[in-house]
Amino acid sequence: MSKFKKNIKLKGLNSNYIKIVVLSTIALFSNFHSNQLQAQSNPGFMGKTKLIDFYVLSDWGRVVSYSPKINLSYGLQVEIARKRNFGVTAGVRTSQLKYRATGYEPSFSIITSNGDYQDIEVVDYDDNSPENDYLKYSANELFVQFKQYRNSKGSLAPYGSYWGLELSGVQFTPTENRIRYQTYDWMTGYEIVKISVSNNPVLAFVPSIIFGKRTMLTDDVSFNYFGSVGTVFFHNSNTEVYYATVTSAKEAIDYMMLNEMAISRLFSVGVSVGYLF
Amino acid sequence: MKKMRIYPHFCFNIMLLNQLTPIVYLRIFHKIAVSTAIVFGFNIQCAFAQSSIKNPIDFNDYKPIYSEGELPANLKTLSSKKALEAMRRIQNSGKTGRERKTEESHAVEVSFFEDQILASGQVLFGNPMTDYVEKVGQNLLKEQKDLQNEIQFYVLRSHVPNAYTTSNGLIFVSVGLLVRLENESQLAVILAHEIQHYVKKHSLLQYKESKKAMTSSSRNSSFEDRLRSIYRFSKDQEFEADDLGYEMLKNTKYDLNEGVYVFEMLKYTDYPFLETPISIDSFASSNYVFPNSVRDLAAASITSVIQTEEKKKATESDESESTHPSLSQRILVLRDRIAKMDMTGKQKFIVDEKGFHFMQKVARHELLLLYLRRADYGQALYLSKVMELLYGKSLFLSKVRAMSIYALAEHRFRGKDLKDFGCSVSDNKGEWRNLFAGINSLTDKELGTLAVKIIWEEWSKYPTDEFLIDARDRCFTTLQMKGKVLLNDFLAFVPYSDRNKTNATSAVEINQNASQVVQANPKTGTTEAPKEDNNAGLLKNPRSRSQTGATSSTSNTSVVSNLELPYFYGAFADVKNKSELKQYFDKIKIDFDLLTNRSGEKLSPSALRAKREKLEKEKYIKPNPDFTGIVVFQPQVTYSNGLSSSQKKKYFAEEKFRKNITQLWMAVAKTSNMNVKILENAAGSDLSTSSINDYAQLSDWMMERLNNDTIQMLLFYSQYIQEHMVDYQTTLLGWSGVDYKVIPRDFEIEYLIYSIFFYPMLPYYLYWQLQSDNYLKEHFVVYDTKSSKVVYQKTKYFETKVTDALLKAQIYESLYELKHTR
Repeated sequence: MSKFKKNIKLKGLNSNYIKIVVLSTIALFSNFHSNQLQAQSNPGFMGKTKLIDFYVLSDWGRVVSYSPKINLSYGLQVEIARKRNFGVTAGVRTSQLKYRATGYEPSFSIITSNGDYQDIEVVDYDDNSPENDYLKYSANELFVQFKQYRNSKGSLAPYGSYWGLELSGVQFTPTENRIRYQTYDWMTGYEIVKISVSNNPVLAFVPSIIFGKRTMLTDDVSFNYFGSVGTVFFHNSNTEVYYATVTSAKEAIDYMMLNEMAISRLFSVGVSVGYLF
Repeated sequence: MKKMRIYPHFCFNIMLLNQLTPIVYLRIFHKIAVSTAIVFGFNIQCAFAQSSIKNPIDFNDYKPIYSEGELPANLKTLSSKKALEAMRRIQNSGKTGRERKTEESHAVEVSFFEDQILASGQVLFGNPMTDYVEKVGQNLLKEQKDLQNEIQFYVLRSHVPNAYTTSNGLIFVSVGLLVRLENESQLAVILAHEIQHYVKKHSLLQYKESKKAMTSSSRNSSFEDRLRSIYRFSKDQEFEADDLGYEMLKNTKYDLNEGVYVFEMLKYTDYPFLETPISIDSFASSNYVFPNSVRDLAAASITSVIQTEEKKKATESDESESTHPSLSQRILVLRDRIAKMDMTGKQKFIVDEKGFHFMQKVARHELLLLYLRRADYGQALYLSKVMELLYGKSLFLSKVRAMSIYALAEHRFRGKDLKDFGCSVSDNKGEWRNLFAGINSLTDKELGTLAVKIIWEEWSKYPTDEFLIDARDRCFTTLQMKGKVLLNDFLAFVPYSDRNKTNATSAVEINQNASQVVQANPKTGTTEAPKEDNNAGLLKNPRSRSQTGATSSTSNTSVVSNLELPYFYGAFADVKNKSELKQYFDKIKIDFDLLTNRSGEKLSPSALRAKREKLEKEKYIKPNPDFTGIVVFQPQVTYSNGLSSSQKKKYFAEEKFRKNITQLWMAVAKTSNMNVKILENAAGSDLSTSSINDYAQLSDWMMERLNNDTIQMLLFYSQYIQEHMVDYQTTLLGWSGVDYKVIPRDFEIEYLIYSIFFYPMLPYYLYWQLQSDNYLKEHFVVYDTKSSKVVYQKTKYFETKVTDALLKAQIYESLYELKHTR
């Protein structure tokens, strides 16, 4: 099974996710709306309404798919409690990722203008082999979160258990590219060549539903643990792509990066330590 | 059914949202009681006895007295320490198995419970009443030095006539009992009986026999209920205590005959401690005479109650089923014993006769205050008259009378049933019944008018007293606002003597009756109702009823009225200084035309809604500049591990929790820079007599407020706490409580089977199974002591494990909202 087919599967999943995200958003915001009608009491824990958090997020989506690999992102976020049970968070996080294959099939095929096809191959049989292919890239995220703290659990933003919506913009930039072409010619047979593609970044939109709990270690320091379920949306002109066909090597690389995120962001957990002020 | 009363110290259960108060109503049953009364002269030289008292008491303007001197040594140590020590003693005694376990749990429960009672502010030590009881008690124990050290005597601030003994040797005698005693011998009989309960360890024996008695009412009940449930003894134990008590008294000079009277008085606990015929006619005057219709109504209600009682009596079951021994049996046993004894040289007083009468005078004044605190205004009104006959007029009695009638009128105007405010015809007997039946048969306007009349009279005696002025103004305002009575109509009322000849017949008749009313009791100076009884106006012991039979004092005065204005408009026709009255009416008069034609902006429903929403949004934005701080009772905590009534209290955890939450309150107050004063009353090294007194004084106010469940009204205890509130620089008084339940999860076999099938779930199942369900309920209510309004109220319910952060967040939120409430 090619990785691309997996990607097709994800596309199917995405349509369900869209529904979930839209419905949750409506539910979330209808709730916020009713909160806005309520009187605003003291937001914040003991009068402290803002906090700065150091942030570690681990993506576990690939563990439950086919490649047991966890991606880690690090970041900083600032949260401001706007109402007694409503907090807005903005932050950045970054991660260094590596695209590796575990299978032996070519990942993507490009149909050339003369009707030939070229496979773009990633080989990773042995970690120590110099022949390995991989793609190293960075994902830099800018995100906002809208959190509703569960007042029934005694929460007062930004303290207690919460759930909410995260909207994140991700910029993927390849940093090291060791992906190869595999071309076939009836005269020469298979020929493997390194591809050289531009390192132009690609953007994606990653909405997630988050849920977590912030506890207080002291009056000023908080510890937060959370989980999220999300998916990746991105712009691509060749949305009809099928049968593992892409129009260019650049597009294939983009898919490699985005695919990785799309799978791994299915389920993430994280912790953060923050200072309230 | 008796009415329910509130004791915030030991109770809190469900605070209903959108209700005004976090009320937990508690029943006080008057089942066991000791009563007696005084049949001899009352003009006792109390003034002489006063000289021996630490702080002279001003009976004219009596103020509630609290504890004095050193704190009982028990309260200096944490309850948990004492409980652990007691447990260690039991362990070292060599007892094993179930017996040891039962004794240990008894020791723990008693250690915590005793401290709660002692620190509640409802137990008095070091004041004239306790000193006297202690003197008599110690005199009884002078031969037994070891018991002298073990037993401590206290007075319990309760109107219920009763005495209790705890298993650690604390003997409580209630104020309600002290007021009914005739002499020292009677007190000695009671104390000797209670001492024997302690000596024979009846409490522990009873506990071992039926552990249920300890826990059945351990929650949501007043300390009296709990005392009664914990220290309830069997028939045999009562007889044993009687027997040994008499044995103890045999060697003293106390007259054992008095014991018979003590038991006889048990039958009259539903009667006033002293009786005199008082009905609504006692408040009549020549131009203010109640019509026959009122009397007929009153008489009908009394007749129906008597019929019900007789029916009930006929169907009542045999007394032998009762847990308490029959009084007649106890009397017989005692008489039998006395017959065999040589009673020569026995005395009624040994320790201090003057001290007894002084103590009793104090107790009777205290009893009035206790009735007011309970909002038993009917009883307070009646007893104020009795006390006036006993001790003469005083500012205090005038204030009590004004307060009682004002409160009755206020509650009636608010649609409350006066039987909940000490005017129950069925629950009260004797002369009480006549007065209460009369009050109940008055309409709102009639009662309101009676109230302003009485208050005006009392105010006229003490025209400069602020409390009376306040009561007068409030009562007149309520009468106008709620009763829609025009004050000028009082002035328009033509006195009967001034009426023209066309009404001659009726006027003469009325005048005759009216003069009869006034002249009925010229001796006492009060306007007594006409009585056929020659003893009218004299005080009688309700016990004397057993000899003379019950009397009904319902007057048969017939009044025929054909006047344009109803009779009650004659309330002020007899006032001498008419110009002063007119001047006052002009001042207090409410212009109803102005009220009805008030020209205000009229908003459409949508605009009103928008305005309300805007106000809601802005509610907590700006702090209230008038907020200066708050006084809060030390939070009440209940910590248990069950939902049902048989749940087990976690005493040690509760103490720790309470201490912790108090510290959190202080920490939050410090962080938020707010003036928060915590009134502590938990046993420990920090506790002092003054802190218990502060707690008691403010909780008295709180109890009165809770018992008067109205939006806003004058409260009697307000006059006593204002000084305190000035010291604390605030007018806000808060009560907070936390109810925490940790319930272990039941074993779920299905979940276990499922998790074995889906084995990756097994760890999660185990984690889930080992967890407990936590329920936390938090209450906070704040009153403005000046206006008695509820200014802030919060109830929150969480199903989560309690953490310091959660509690801190909740406390901070409460204080923040309070600070921003206008």
